[in-house]
Amino acid sequence: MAMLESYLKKQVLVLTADGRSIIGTLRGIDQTINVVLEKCHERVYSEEGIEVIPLGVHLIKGDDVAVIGEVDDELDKKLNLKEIIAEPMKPIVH
Amino acid sequence: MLFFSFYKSLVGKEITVELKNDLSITGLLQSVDQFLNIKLKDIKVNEEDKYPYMISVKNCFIRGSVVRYVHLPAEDVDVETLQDHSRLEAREQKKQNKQHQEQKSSTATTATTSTTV
Repeated sequence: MAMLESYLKKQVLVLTADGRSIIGTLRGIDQTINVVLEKCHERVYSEEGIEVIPLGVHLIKGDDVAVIGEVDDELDKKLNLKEIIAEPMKPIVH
Repeated sequence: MLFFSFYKSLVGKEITVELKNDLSITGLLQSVDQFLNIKLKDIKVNEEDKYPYMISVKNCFIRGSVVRYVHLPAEDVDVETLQDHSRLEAREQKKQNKQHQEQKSSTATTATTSTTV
């Protein structure tokens, strides 16, 4: 839990176990890595570039969290989402 | 607990974490906890063109349960010591289990004697 405290109130990217990427402001965490995101959106990867889907407030169960990344706002602003073409991320297979 | 201490000795070193979704992330080990959750600094995803999902991320937290492999710098790992400590821990665990079973069986016999009385 202490490990994630430094990311609180910041823009984070959560990669989920089923292969989705969700970006939002980190509002809450607990010891099982349950995560509350505010003002979040999903980035859907496909051959036509990245589609952004607004989601609002989301609680993601800890079991479903794979990676939490601290988003560098400067770098993120420079991204041209339409030009990034990639396959959807693979799900976690245990 | 052994590997938790082992990872703690590698803080500050560059490691590559391969996840169970085939993503490989290289970065400096910042911290680790008892679940072997890992925090990395200054990360780079291997094959970034193919996996651009974390382009704007510099620092990240990886849940221990999604880690498949951790690639470590060979020069920072003392394999012999690690092996010794692993054996030691395994031996202690065995001893504890044996003690536990002996305790169990002794309480069971006292229970049966008390019923016969």
